Amino acid sequence: MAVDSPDWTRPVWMPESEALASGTKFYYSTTAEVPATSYGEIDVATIAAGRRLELSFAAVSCEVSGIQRLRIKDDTFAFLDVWYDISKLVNIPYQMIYPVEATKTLKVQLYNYDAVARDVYIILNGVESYI
Amino acid sequence: MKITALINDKGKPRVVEQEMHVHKITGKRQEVDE
Repeated sequence: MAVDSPDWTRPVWMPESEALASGTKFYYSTTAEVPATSYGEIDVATIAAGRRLELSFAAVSCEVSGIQRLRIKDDTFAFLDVWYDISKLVNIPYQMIYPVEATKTLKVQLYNYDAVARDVYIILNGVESYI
Repeated sequence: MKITALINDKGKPRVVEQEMHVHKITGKRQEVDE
């Protein structure tokens, strides 16, 4: 289980992928409250000139049901836009590579359409490499 | 921003249309040593 994760998260694994570029590997994690009828937006990383980011794996966990939609995007494109009733761990397919070009920012959006706030935990892995 | 979306509500489709506010979340990036 990731460091600083709350008690109600589930264990996740980071599979090795041959498609993954060589570069600086990192993981990004956070626990946050998404207020009622709002979406939480996480700016994961803004990519420096001459570099590229590949997101390899992401997982979202919710203490109770409530987060219904998840988007992974940069400033221009949405890479993934999925609807869930996230009451347990949701793994985003790690086989897919979401390339983010230089000067763009990788963002994760978590939508809470309900009238009460929800606690969420998210973790994702990425590689920032030279083009 | 008003959003219309078809969501999965406990296994049943539900159309929602409501005002949504953005809430910025910050986290921690940690590099992984090989």
